Amino acid sequence: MALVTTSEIHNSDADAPADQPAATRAEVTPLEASFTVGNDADLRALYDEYGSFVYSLCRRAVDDAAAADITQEVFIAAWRNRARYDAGRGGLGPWLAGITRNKIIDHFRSNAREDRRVERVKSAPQPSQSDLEEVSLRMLLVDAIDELPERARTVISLAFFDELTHVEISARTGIPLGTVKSDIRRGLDRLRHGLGYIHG
Amino acid sequence: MADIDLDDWIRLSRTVTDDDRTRVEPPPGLFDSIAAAVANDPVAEPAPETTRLEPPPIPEPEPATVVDFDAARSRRAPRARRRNRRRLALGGVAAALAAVIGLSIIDTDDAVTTFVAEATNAELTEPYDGTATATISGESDQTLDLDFSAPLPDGEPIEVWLIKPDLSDMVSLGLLDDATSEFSVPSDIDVREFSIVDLSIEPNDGDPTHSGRSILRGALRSI
Repeated sequence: MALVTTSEIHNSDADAPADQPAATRAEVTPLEASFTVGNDADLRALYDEYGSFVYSLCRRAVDDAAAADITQEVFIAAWRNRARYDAGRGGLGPWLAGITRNKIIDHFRSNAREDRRVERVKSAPQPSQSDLEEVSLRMLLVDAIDELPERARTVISLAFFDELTHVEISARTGIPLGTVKSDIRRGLDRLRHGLGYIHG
Repeated sequence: MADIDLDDWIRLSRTVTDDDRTRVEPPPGLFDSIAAAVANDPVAEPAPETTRLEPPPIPEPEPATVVDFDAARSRRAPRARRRNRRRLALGGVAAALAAVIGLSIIDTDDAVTTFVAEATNAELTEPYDGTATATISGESDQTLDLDFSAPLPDGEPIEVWLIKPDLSDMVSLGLLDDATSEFSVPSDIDVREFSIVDLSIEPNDGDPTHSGRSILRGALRSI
């Protein structure tokens, strides 16, 4: 089975159907659009949307109790600083992931200080920033793909995870080759927003 | 997190594990705790575009801020964070430093509740092409707010400290990130005494003490 190449994915719009509109900037969700001046309902929506992501990311590094504490800190910090979020720079997911990573590291640093103060040995190893970033990026990728429309999700998953070429995806799914390419192109446009946050 | 090239995402997709797909729901009641914590917060205002680009002017020039972290670290006394600060025994070196920094910049009038420091990279070895304006305001619950003139270096965490000019004590206010440039000042910290604002790069090496790799530093003054 041939691996799909990154250039092939990049060039997925090369022979897209002529009637398809050109790819536009990635979509900003209603929550992202209103978040900076949000109300209580937006806090609830933020938690409903990203609570399990943040908590699950914390659980990759700390135990249940600490994960709950850090999750609480993350949402409080995000809410109190929501005016600093800029949807033009990326999605709420990667923005929250950045806060979560820092809060996890802050937790370990705090514990390390306490451990030294009482001369105890640390009970858990501190994850590195790069480890946390790798984990959070993979989790963001999984979530971003899950949120794609069904056909795009199928096509992108086959290209990314199953490493199929466009032709192989078309053969396996019965979706015309041009549609496969346009679905990948549009899917990537949406993924870009959900995966990265450009820090200013 | 820096913006990541699409090729990196494609490569990353090929290392996804079952754990990465697992989502665990937070414990019941956690949202209620979050909502209660922010219930009395003021309504947010959109951040003006110039907030991070044009720090407000400082009324008068500040004296140079010279802090010898190598001297302090040589004692290797742990410096705790937030409410767990510790004292350092630095002897005569600290007294000399106090004279350099100049304690007179802080008004002793208890009614003064706002302090400002223009933190710069001058005389620091870590590169950073920018400045920050640190403002501490409030009465019983003081907060320190930072406005930067340029994007911060990507990569390792940056920690915010308040330090006594004689290096006899310091307190960490926490790690800086895109969401948090405002920090609570512990109620037992008198900013008239902890009058140096310092931002340092802190590697994830498990060492909670100040790394000595400061990128910005400035002396608070009352306004």
